[in-house]
Amino acid sequence: MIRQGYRAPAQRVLLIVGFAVVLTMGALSLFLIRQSLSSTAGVDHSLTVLNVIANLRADLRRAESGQRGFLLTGDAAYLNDYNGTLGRISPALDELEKLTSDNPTQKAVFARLRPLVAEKLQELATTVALKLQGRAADALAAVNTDRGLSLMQNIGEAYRDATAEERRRLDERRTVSTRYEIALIVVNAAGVLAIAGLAYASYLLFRRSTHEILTREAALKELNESLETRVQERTAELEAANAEVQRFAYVVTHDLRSPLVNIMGFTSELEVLRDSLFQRLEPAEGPSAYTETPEVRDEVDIGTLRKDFDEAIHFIKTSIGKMDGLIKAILTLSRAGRRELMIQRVDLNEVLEVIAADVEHRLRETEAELTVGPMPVIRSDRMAVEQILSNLVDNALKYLRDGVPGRIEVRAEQTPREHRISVIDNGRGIAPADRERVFDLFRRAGVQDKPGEGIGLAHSRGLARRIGGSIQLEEAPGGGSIFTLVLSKLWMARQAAAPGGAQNG
Amino acid sequence: MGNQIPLTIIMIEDDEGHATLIERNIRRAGVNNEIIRFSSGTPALDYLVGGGGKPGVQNGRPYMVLLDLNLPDMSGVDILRKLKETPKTERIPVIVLTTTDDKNEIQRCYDLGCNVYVTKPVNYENFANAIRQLGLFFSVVQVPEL
Repeated sequence: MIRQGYRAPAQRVLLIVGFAVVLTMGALSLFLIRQSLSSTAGVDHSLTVLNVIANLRADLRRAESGQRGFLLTGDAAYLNDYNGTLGRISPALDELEKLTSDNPTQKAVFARLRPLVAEKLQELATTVALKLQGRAADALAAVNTDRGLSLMQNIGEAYRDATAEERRRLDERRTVSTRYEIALIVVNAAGVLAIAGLAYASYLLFRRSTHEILTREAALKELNESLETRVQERTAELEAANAEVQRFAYVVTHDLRSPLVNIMGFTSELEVLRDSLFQRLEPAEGPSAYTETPEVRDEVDIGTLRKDFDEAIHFIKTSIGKMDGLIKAILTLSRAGRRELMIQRVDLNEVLEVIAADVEHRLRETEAELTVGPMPVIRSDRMAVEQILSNLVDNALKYLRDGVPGRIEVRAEQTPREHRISVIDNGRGIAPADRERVFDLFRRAGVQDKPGEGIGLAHSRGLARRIGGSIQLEEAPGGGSIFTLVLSKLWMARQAAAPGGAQNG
Repeated sequence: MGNQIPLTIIMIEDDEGHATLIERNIRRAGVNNEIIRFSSGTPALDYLVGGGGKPGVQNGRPYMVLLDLNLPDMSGVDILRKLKETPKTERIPVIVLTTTDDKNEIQRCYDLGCNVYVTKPVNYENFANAIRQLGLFFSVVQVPEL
């Protein structure tokens, strides 16, 4: 079972993590780039320093060779060269000082170097000045002292130290720079991987939630369909019940009004007769409600009057009797509808034995045969089932076909959902147009040559409905009728679940 | 009646009391034609349309049918329909006389071709009056021959 809220936090977490990764990546990248840039700058710086040192070295050598040349040849060209070079050395020293101000090691070296260079320059200047003064021998003597040489050696050492230091720095900076670059690549690659991973996770989640949605939709659709089916079934049931009620109301109003017309009519006829009679008894009486015309009066004799009188009273009485009978039948039906059902184990074999015994003498009289197949045991109201089946068998026996001995079969079938008990006859059958009519109260069909009030089937159908079933009617092969009592197993099961029997059907 | 051959009135009414009242009032209106009574639909149809061993009505005789809708063995509407569907009987004027005053029922009867629809009222005055009017109606109407 998928938890309800599972989706939301996971996706939110994913989103947050995604953002975090991107931000981190961005920040790290920026940082690393800055570091990289600064270390590149550092590398640049070191290279510059090395360059300046190299130039300084070269210039100093050049100045020396200028001096030497001049001393040897006295050529002004060498002197110019020397002077020119001098001009570059001082600024170079200044620059060097500036460049190495951040490095204590270099600073120390430079502190050594500067005075040495200054002294060397001094030495050069002195010898040149001597030469200029014409004291060449003194100049050479100055050169011959090892002073200049040792100075140059010291300077050379200082150069080497400076260079070495700067080279070391350069390598250091290069390493750092490379590290930063690698770090940058790694961070970005990691970030990309992380995002790819998150994207995949997100995709998986999305797929899962889509699957969830589809599953739920399918379940919902199924539920809807089954619901709709149930609603349709119920609606059909209600419509059928409603139609029956409507028919019932129609029949009842008709059948009760009819006798009233008679009672009213013949009462009025009696009034007419009364006037005739009393006019004959006391012809001198004043105006009456109905005045016979002389023609009519002459025609109608006492015998006719008596006959009419008796007829009127007869019809009034029978009409009242009819109404009473109708009302009684309606009450019986209503009472039967209100009787509490007693749901119990009913062996239909026993029930049909009782019915068969009941109709035995009629069977003999009409030379009819009744065959009963094996019957199931069901859970239902015993009285209701007995009444219904008895009614069906009675009808089968009643409406035989002329000249054809009755063959009635009672057969039981089962489907997973219902029990079906059929009464099959070879009688006169029921026309398709009358198939609903025969179930209506006080209605019958076909040739009216048998006694009956048209109550039986109406009653049976109502009873059947109360015990969770119905009565179906179809034509039997050969022209008779098949009445089937259909009982729902589901209804029976529900009764078992609610002990004590059901109140209503 | 304008016809040479006298009109026969077929009354299809299951209630004997009603039948008697109707007949009496028709007679009171001065109508002396033959009235043939049927108390259920099947024999009536057998007589008119034919069936059950009967040939149905003969040509050349005028008929009029008084029909009650509330018959025991079939619906009067079915009888009306059968009469109007059978060529032999379709011209016979049918007067529906019944206890219902349901609008739908009235409409349906007219749709099926009844000529007149009369509600049997419980009030006898009205009832008797209606029948007597019917009788007068019989006396003035021209009825086709079959």
